[in-house]
Amino acid sequence: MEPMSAVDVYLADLRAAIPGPSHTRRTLLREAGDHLEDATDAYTAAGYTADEAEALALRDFGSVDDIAPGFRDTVAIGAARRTALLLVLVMLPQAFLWDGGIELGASAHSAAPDSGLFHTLDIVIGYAGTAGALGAIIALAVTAIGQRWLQIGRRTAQLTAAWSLAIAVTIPIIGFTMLVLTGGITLLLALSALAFMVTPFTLVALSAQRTLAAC
Amino acid sequence: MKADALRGHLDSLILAVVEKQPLHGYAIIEALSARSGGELDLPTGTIYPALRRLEKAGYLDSSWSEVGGRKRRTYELSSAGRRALATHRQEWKTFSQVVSGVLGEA
Repeated sequence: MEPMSAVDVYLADLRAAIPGPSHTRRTLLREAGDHLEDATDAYTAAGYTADEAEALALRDFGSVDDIAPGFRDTVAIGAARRTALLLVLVMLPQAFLWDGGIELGASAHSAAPDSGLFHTLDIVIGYAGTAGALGAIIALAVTAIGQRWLQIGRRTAQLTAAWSLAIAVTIPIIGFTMLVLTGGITLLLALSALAFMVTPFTLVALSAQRTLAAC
Repeated sequence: MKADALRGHLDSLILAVVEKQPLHGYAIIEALSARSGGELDLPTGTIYPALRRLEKAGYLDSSWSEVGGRKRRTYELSSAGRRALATHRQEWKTFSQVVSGVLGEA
């Protein structure tokens, strides 16, 4: 087996220093590899040996300790942006699906019980839903165009992921409890809850976990 | 000139070097070095997070294209980036005039 070049070793170290599988990580590492290839070629063309050219290209690029934090921030922010977008897409149709045009609960012949717990949960889920959607929209804006004015990093990504995870866990639990309280979960209602509540929020939770892993 | 002294200005410098034509990362570093007379002393790897940030902020557009027979991600100024660059140029002109006026000659 051919021994790894100094650039290959560097890129492997850089890869190891940037956690989390993501498209952003792959493209950043590819760009780093392309850059080092171009820089090595330039030094070789200037008369340096291949080893010297690689060493100079790596010196110019910066040590893994110097470079990795910026790359990690970029990957984490990218992951947070995707999580926020997913949460927005999942949250926006929820009110319409359950209380608005489609009214899944009513379609499944479930009736709102006249109990204090049900009404309390109904109020809580309303606030949680609104807060979740607003938080997701703010996080999406901050991790995209907001970077024009704000210096953000892994802390913002962590906050976005934690918020998304909390919403993705809270809303299905409350929603499912409310469905149970109706006292008549039908197959259609259960399938509706699975398709429009459990599955989408599970995807949000998984995305949030990937974001936390990248932080 | 060390990276610390560039804090807050690197984004504008990047926007300035891609103003005339799309460039890939290595070419951007070369252009920065050439236009600064070799005075900019920053680890070249720091450019990539900055490029990604500027792209997501809407100041740069990127695409993969063939450069010298190799696939490279190239960056070009968006219309929002052009406006931001013009604003920063004006602010810098005012700032440098003020500082020069105060520092001036003893």
